[in-house]
Amino acid sequence: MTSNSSTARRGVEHWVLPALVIAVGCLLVVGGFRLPLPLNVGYLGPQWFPIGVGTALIVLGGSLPFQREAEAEPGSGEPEDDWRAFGTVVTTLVAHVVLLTLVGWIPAGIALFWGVARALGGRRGLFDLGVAAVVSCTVQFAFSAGLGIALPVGALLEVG
Amino acid sequence: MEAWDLLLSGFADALTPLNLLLCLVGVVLGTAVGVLPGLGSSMAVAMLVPLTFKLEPTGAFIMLAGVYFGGQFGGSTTAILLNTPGQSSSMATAFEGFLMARNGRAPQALAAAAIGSFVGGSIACVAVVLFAPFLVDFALRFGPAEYFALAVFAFVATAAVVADSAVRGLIALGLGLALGVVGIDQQTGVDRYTLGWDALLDGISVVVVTVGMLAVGEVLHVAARARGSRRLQDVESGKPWLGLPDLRSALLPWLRGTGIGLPFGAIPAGGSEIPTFLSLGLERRLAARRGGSRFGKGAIEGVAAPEAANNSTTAVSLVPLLGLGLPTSATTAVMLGAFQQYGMQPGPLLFADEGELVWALLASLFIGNVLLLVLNLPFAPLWAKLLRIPQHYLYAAIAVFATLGAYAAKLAISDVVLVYAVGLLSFLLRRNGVPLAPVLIGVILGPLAERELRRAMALGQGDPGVLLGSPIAVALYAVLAVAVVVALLLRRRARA
Repeated sequence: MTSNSSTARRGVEHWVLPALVIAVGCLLVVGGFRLPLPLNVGYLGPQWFPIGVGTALIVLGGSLPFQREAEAEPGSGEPEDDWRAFGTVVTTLVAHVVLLTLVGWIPAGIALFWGVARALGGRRGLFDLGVAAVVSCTVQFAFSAGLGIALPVGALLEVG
Repeated sequence: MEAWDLLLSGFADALTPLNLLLCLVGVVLGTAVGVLPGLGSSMAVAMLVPLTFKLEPTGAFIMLAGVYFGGQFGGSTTAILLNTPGQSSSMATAFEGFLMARNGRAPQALAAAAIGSFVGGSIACVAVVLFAPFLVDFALRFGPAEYFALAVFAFVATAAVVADSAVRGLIALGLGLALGVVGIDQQTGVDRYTLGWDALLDGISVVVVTVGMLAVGEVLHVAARARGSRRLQDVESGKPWLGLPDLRSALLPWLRGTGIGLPFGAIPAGGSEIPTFLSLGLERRLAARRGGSRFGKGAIEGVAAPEAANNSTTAVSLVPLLGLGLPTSATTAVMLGAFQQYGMQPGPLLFADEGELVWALLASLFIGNVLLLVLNLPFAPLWAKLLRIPQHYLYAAIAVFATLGAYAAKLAISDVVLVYAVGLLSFLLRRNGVPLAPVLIGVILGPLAERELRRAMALGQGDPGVLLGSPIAVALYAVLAVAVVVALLLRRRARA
């Protein structure tokens, strides 16, 4: 990764948070003024607290780009960013939710454990898959037998 | 001495086999997460909360308190042996502790830390038992205006004082407050900011926010940093025992550290980071004045005092949590969320309504302290071996348990989606140096602050002056102003 592309990425990253903060602030303010109010609102209706918070967020988000850089975490040095690993984890989380709704906990749990382990440097594919299966099945057993909590079975299996 | 009678009956409740077992499980888990860098007791408590729903509340809180204490004990082990503090509260210990370990005095450093934690924790527990009832009597006079002042106190202290930059801290607080207003408004029944999604009508649960912020966010954060997994050297074992000269030089630092830690537990200054550095600085100056200072070469005082300060702060932080419902650190914020999940509101009424639980919990702190000493004094080098668990399995397991925790609270897949979304937000905040604790305080105390504000306004018939109408509220705002100034000065000194 050249230093150029990494500074460019940093630049983009710097604008995400202020944009998000201002967007949340606007949502709170606009949503607050458009709340359908009942008759019994009392002295301070349900809209004013969020509107206050939203206004503050807009101001704070706007001033964030003018703040000095955050101090680097102590001891972290200057770590290179690893966006591939990050992407793998995000993909894994999305896949987990999809699998959880479709085929239930055990396969979804295996995918979750395996995907995160792989993203973070696990290189023994089949062995990791075995560990993932053991963890996922153990959890299923502990939850249903021990805690009495039913984990999702999945829409596909429920029908069949 | 009514408090002692209550404490004795608390011991009777805490010493049942089940509660003892839960306390043991808690301190073992806590020590483990304390030892492992990156995993904090706040994350561990957050992930355990949903899994303890099936327990009696008393047992559940005994276990959670064990995790909280164990984390503070365990953090010092890796700080000393590997210069890798397991928690930020053990950073001060790492300086002299690691130097001692490199000079072959690791066992003595571990012993000084473990006994220091024990001394600090035990003395502070006595202070909690003596002090809590007074606070409760005082807090019974609180009305809406006072509670609102208290919430503002917690907001400003955690967001503006503890954060490196006030803007970032306040942004974190604002996002937490924003997450807290989602859902049906309790007073009017209006649904707010649900964006037409039915799953949001009940609001975003505290479990989802805490687990997403602390656990899912950490997994994403670790993934995005290139892995420079260092190979860990072998940890030498040895009998952690203190000779008479060591005991003599550690005794006063233990007590001084405890003394410094005590007041910090009662104010929302973000946990025990500040008092540990303060007591380290004090011991360094005292040693220099005495002459023959061993600081910089591995001074036992530099391990003994911060660890005592650390644990006395931790124990005292339960006073404002239980007596006022005021969290002073990320972990106590998560525990406050746990109380709310059980339908209890910490505060003066908790002592009246749930007296048995509170006193059993306080008694279990003494028991937990003894268990921790037994677990940590002889076995500290064994705990350090936990660092050999491959990082990728560890974080994969965290992802799995975070998901389960989010799901188990309401048995809703929508909560899994939400917990991942909160995790992404947490990742974004970490990347920008925004602290996470104010988010938790905001989401947990925000609804309370709004409710009390609106109640106060209703009482005052819409006159905002009612917020300043009571001496207690005015005093709280005044103390807040002083605390902000003092904490800022202390923080600057602690860093220097």
